[in-house]
Amino acid sequence: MLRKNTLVILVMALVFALQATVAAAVTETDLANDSKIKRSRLLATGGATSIEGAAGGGIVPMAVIAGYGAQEEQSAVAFASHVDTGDYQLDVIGGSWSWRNRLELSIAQQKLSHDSLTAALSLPTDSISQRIIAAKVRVAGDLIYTPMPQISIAVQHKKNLDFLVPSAVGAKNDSGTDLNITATKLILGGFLNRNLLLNANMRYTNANQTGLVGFGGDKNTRKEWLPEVSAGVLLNRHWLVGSEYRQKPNNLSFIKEDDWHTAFVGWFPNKRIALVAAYVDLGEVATFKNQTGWYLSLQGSF
Amino acid sequence: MNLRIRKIFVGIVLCVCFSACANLSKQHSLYDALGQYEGINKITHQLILNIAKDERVKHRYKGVNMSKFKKGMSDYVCAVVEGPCTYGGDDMKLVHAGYNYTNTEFNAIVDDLILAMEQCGIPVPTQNRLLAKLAPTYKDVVYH
Repeated sequence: MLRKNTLVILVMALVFALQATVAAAVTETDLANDSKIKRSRLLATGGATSIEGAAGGGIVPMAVIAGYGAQEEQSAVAFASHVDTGDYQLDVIGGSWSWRNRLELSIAQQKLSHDSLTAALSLPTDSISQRIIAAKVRVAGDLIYTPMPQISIAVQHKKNLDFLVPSAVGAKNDSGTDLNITATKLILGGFLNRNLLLNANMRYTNANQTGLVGFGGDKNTRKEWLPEVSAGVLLNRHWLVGSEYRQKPNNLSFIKEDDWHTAFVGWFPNKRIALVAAYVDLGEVATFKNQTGWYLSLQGSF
Repeated sequence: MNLRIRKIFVGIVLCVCFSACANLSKQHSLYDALGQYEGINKITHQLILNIAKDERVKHRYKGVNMSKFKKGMSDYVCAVVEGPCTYGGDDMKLVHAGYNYTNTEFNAIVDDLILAMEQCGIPVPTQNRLLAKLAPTYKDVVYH
């Protein structure tokens, strides 16, 4: 049997391998090449990939369109992420295609491993998977070049593929669709002359733990608007440090759901690769308190 | 835990407020930070070299008198950063009118400029201050 994280490691290796064959960063060597650069937006402006597959940080999406395609270009992104909070592990793989810095289509497959919960409650299964298909459209503004922030609207359709445990704890539906309205602005020299990234998202959702514990519950089935914010500082072109906050619904009386926080460091060595490491605090997750731990995400852009 | 990350948040917010004040009180003028006219002219020179190698935009400069472009660009930047120069050329809107410059081409020039500043050893804070001065020209340059 394959070990738990083997798939993620394989995908990461694949992304690295692909990177070696694709060129698209603006360096002296790139300009020395005779081939035309095909992805023209500035380094780091495509963000990383959030756990739901949308361009953003780790847990909060941003209004930016994935990859580095400018308004006459397109781009694609592949990513793999891993979170470990001791009692839970989340593995995510996925990718996206972006068109003209206008439209982003993404898909993500999440797998939550819950061995501790299985042992505590003698559950018949030890993981829950979810698939998310999403579309994001930039409706106004530009991240950098307009006084107005970049504003995007996105839908994320989520399908829980292992609904047995979620339904047992009171979740109502095995699928749901989140609506996101997001504003993101990069203020040049905005923080001690470093570039400052500000981001706010309003999510209309009834997803429990992003949908991994189903949608709606005995306490509440309706969708509600929940705020998510993030901020970061680009120390230089390659390093972004910041923090995120995501408010969560609380639809189930059997298991309490806490808001999420992260503090992250993102590394953008070139336009092909981004690596994000974060400290995450997910609070209480399905009866296990103080779920803090580490997040690692690797993204390849093409 | 939660508190730790909240403290980071509060810290960031406070620093933003303080930096805003600090920037007002004492800051090396951008013109000096760029190395005055000589420094600006070096960046322009390197920018032209980068543009000449950039397949996205180099065709736009065919037939352009580069020494005239170089002086115009340096004078313009010097004036924008409040140096002791008078930019005698047309405004950005007029200079770029009718060419249908694209978002891709604008990004390419910014790419090439950032690279030029790095090649000239301009520190990141100074790079950002200049980019902040030039970014608003987007609306006058790119055709939509």
